Amino acid sequence: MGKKGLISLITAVLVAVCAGAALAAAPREGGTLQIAVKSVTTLDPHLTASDFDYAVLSQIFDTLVATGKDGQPIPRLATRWENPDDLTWIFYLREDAYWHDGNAVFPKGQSRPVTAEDVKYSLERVLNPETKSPFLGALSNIDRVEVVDDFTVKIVTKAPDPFLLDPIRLAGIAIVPKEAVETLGPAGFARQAIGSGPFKLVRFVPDDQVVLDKNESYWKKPLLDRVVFKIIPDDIVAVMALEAGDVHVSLSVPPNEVDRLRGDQRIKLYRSAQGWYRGLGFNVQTPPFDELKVRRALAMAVDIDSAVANVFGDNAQRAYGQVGPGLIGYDPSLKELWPYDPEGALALLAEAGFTPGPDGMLQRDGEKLTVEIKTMNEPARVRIVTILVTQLRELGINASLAIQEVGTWSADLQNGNTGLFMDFAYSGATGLHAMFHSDNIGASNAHFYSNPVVDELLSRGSVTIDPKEREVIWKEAQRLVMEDVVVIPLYFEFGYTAADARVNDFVPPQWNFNIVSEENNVWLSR
Amino acid sequence: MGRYIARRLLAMIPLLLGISFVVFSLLNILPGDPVSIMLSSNPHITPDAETIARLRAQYGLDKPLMTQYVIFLQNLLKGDLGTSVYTQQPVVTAILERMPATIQLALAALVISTAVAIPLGVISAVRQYSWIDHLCLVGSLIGISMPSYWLGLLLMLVFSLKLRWLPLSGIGYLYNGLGDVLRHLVMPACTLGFGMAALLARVTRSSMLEVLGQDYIRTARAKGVHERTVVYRHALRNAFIPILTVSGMQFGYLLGGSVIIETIFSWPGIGRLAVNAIMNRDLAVVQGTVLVFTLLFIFINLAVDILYAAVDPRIQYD
Repeated sequence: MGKKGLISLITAVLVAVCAGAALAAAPREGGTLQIAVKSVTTLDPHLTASDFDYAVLSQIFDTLVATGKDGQPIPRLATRWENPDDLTWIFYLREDAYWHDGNAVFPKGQSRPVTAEDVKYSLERVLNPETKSPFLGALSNIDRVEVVDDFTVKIVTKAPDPFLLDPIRLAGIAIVPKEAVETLGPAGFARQAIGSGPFKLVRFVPDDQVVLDKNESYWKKPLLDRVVFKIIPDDIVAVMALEAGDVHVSLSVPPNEVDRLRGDQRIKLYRSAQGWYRGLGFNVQTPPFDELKVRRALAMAVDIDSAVANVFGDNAQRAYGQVGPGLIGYDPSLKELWPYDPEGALALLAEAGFTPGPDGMLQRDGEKLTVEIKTMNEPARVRIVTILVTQLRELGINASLAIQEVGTWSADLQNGNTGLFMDFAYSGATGLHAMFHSDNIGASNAHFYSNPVVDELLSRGSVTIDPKEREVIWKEAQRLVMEDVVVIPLYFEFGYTAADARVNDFVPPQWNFNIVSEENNVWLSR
Repeated sequence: MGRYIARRLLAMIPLLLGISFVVFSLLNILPGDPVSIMLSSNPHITPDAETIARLRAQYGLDKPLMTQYVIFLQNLLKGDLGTSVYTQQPVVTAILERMPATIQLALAALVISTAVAIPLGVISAVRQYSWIDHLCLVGSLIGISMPSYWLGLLLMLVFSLKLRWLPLSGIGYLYNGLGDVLRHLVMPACTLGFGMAALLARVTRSSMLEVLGQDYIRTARAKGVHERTVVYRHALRNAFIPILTVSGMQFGYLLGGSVIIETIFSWPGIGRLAVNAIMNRDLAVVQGTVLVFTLLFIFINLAVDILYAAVDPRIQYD
């Protein structure tokens, strides 16, 4: 071999190596993605509030916008949108989105494009009380929906609405075809969903599986051939199924399995962008919790940092307010309000008239200071509350834990049959309003807390479009609530999704579950 | 016999009415309603008092208890068990869809447990206090006291995760071949059958011991009848009544769906349907499943009673 030959050989080898590397990184078409979900109740996207249902439904249906990786709205059916004024939203729809065909409503090859009429129909279906949609409240700020032309739709709100494109609002409302709902009827549509999303329904076997095939005519061609949602009700079994290679993704990983999975090379863990708020709430109308001194003393009496570290390790973040990291109004400076000071707590309780009785337990007028903490039966929450109860008892407070079935717990909170309780977890952008505005007493405000100043701030913040301005208002309202010790914030709990390392371009769900979106297109390597 | 069966069937009516009323009242006494639970299941949705009240009215949950019950009975007479608040599906459909999975599992567990338990029980009785009797005693104790949840997970760890012989969970389908059905069935059926086999083996043993001490067994042996014939023809047949009773009861429970087994093995059966409905206060589904359970139980008891006559000619009805 001459010099020339050698050079050309080396070149050839180099080219081959580079090509190989490029091939290895290139997305591969084909394959079936198996996903474990806890439950799938219905395929009617307007009649479910379950995020597991929605994980399936966001493959079958399109929404006007989707929620992107960074939590901001990204285009989906609408390619762009604009606000001529604070009340008006104009959405420009893509013209290449078609309803799934080959079904009872649209025979093969006889589909039609998704139009502004469909958007109007879908939003009005949710807004119609007869539909019984749990989203009605979320859209109630919409005054009317107008069709401008086939692919332009105008939405007018009653008041300025900064949250209109949020996950549970427009980014969560599926656009459905009128023909399908009317031909199939509510029970039929709930089983034979027909949408315009990247995957179409093949079959739904209740309590077993939902099988979806790729929609060849989707505006962005899915790389996967098929997606199967396997219904596995037990979280631990879902994790085992992932380890056994039966599924590629498990959408709910219990906190105590996270550390174990971290050590497994074959599995990748994805942490949710936002943490869910977890805290104790007071019913501020139940004695003795109607006294600020008692509430503050109880907050000072417990060592929350060590309790959270003990139960969660790194999988949760200590909370000092209700608004979580990554959301407008998140305020770490509230930390100063929550010192751990058992001595100070006892002093405050003494001021309130509680002194140690003959048995060493704190009492006032012969009555013990009794604190029963109600919680739903979820292992992590039960462990945290158990630790807090133990700490309170050591200080001479007659504390106990009441573990309740979730329906009972939720009813007790709403009826005010409470003193101190593990609170609701309304965590999104409007969570603060839900939990502390007096309008929501008896529903999501389980504290029976009514403060006109806070009400005014929350009402104003809810219609303030400018994020900077809203942040100031939101922080002020939050600080007032925390100074009133309506709650004892404990921690923000992150959700974990686990996926096989062969799953590429994966984005964990945030109400929308994007398998094929403007930002990503999931594929399986060999 | 015909009149006996007719009488038994007629007696079902007041029983069913009574049970449906008890279930209805219990669910209404329990705190929590489907609307609040549905809305509070999602941290993004913030339920306002107005939405809750409106939805409750639409589902007829605001009417007085007796009115709701009367409406339920009227629909029942038309064969309509109502519609699920959650899935929008008729309750009848929901139950019928899940019955085959439950029956498949129950039958498999029954076959496994009787095939294991009856021979073991007989051997334990015949060789009382031998090593095999002691072994069976220990095995039964373990079987009765071991939580099925734990056993199920253990089997999964060994046969699915480590050995990779069997699928971890889910049900098999005939269109994938009989092998697919059987491979999915083995672990849940064994888990379910094990506890039942333990109990059945003990019942068989004690019942056999009682019969083996009878005079006619001694007579048979004295006549020189082969020991095998003594045990299986003379003794076992006479010891069969308690065995049949226990199997019948157990089969009834199995048909009610084993919630725990169905949950860990992701088996789409009726037990999960019932428990989810109770958790969600999905009243119509709870009512429907309880009524079906009751009916199944009554029929199985009736079938067992009829079988008694077949096993023991001395038993006659009418």
